[in-house]
Amino acid sequence: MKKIKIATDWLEACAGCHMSLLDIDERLVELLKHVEFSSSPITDLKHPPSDGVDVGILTGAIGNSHQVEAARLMRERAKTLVAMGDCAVFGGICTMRNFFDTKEVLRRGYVESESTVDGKVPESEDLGKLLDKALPVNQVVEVDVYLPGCPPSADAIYFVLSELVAGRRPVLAGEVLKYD
Amino acid sequence: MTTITLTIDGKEVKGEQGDTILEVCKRNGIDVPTLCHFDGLAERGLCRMCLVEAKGERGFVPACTTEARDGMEVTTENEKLTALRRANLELLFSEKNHFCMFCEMSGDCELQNLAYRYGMDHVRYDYSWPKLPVDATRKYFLFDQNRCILCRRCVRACEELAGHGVLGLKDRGPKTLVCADLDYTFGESTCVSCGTCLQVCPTGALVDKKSAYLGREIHFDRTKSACTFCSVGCGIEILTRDGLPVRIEGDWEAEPSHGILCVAGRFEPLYETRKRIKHPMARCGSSLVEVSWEEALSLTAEAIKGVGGPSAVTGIISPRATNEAASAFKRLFDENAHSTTPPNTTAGNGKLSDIEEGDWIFIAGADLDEEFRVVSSFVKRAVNRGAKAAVLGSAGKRVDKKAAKILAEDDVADLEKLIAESERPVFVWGPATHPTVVKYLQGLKNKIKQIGLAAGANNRGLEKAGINPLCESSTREALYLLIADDVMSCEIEEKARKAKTLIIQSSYVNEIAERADVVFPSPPWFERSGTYTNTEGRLCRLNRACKPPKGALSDEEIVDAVRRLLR
Repeated sequence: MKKIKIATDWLEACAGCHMSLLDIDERLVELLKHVEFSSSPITDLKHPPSDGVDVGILTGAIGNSHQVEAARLMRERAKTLVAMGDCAVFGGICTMRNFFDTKEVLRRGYVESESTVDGKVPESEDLGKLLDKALPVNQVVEVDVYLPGCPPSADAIYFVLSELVAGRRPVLAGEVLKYD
Repeated sequence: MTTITLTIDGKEVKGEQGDTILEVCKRNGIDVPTLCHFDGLAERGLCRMCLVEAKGERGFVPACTTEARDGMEVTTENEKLTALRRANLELLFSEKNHFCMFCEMSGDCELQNLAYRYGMDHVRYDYSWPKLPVDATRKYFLFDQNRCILCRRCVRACEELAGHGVLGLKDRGPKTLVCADLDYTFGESTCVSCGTCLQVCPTGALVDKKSAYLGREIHFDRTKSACTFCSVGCGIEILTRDGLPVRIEGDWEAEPSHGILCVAGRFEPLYETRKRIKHPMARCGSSLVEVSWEEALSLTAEAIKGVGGPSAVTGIISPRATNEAASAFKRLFDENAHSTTPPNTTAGNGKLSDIEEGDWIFIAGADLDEEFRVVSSFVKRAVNRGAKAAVLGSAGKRVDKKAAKILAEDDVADLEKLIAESERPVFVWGPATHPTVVKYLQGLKNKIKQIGLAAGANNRGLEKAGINPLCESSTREALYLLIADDVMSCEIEEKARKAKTLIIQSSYVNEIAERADVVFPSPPWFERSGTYTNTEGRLCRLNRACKPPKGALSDEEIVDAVRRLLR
């Protein structure tokens, strides 16, 4: 059986979803017989390969212009795009800033935060521009599979990956469909 | 009752004429998803979760407000309905700000459960992200508008069940929010913190501060018991985790209040700050030292023998004690057993539920706002449905406001006229009723429904056991106080200070316990089992929700053990 190629990336996220991916534990060994992990934030290859992947996994909400680009790139290069975790699926905790103006948010984070002395809002052109609102992935690019959870349990991730390996479109229900 | 026959999901089922489709489904064990529906509240058909297909009806109909008809063909689940319900849920999730990952209710939330049931793995709509307030101005529970789905269960429960009618809605359309009175903060509003709204809320919009994040329903044990904080004796469920009480809820099934509680029964007991007495203690010089149960019992027996036996001791028992403890106390002290509460009302011929039937409700000698709060719910509900209330003197500011007539506290002449005009008068009277009125009521006997409100939670039980209130002449130099988890009045404290020999059964440390010769730990409300007799004379069962410390005796076991040693 041909291995399926997976690329992952995290956008506005806490890395918890990737931690949960590693929580698959020894089942990873079994999984690796059927999948090949290419780019991910925790491997050397950071961008999905140009010849494409079978499955692209995005974790995190989309909060700035760089993340819009990263999401579009993943969409372009992945046959199946999975939004993983509450931030990618619903916007999650990142959207708490959506109740405030972006200027207010930046000032609070870089200038007014309690641990900051003489803070300044960074203005380099190399930095991504904050979007008006943090958004779930499906409001920027089309998503094929949704895997909510904060983070999704290792079992839920394993279920989705094994369904994809088997060539099926995963339908989450019961214990693997959780928002918390 | 006329029986009707319907076909639901292909099965022939029976219902009663006048049933809604939802009621027929419930009778037949068919699970239709609901959110705004709550047993005991008027149906509003707001949430559209219970939409079903009925042959011949235009579009989809809400099962909760559509009357079932003979021969109807109903479908409660199919692909179209699943899609509709899922879309409906997505709209609810996108309208306000629902963050399950840190919501207190996650795991027990009815909205979340339905979203799981209908496989909502994402939301297709744009989110509104409205900036909404959280109102934490009330001491015991908060309101988070972000998680409110406007099902109006709280609004209806406040009006229909609790009778207070504090909650309402402000604004219209997507701006609609639940508010208190004319949009005051809950803390400033006329809310009495009875917590009925908290108990009916399907989401995390209303959150109990004490039990927040202490666990989910699966982690809690529930024990049905009765409230021990006034003589109404409401049915409660005590929720515990790891042997500690975390929340109190009203028992919808239980007499007399069917789930309605008050702040004193639902919240205050969980905020106890007094220090527990955990072991028996005995005096050694100027201090109290921990002793074994056997030692404490024999020291008590010796002390009682030393002053000349139980006939030389005054026994004082709090109305927090159970009927069983009261009987044991009476057996030990006989005529010397007294209760801490002053002379009381008589029970009367009525039940609290009679208030539901009355056309005129008369109230005298009781502050229903402060002392018998759940009775105020009965009265307010009666007024809400069109009955009239007349108050002699005052029944508390909030009840007075609902009264059609306010008479002087001894105005028997006007009272007589009003009673003569009414068809089903109900008289509720408390311990502070003017003697002239008490005399008048005694004269009326069974001509009208009378409900006497007893001061002290189990005062009726104490009366039944033959224990009389304490009078000045009855105090001896040796005192035996069974205080339980009660607070001592200044009068009792004064007597205890003067006592030469003092034995005390108390749940908590207090100044008097520190002066005693022997101190026994008394089980507090959540460790107490037995019965109370409520103000109507109804027997209420108390069940201990938490395991008492190892070797601990109940109040009656302590008293009986002392009596055995005296034989």
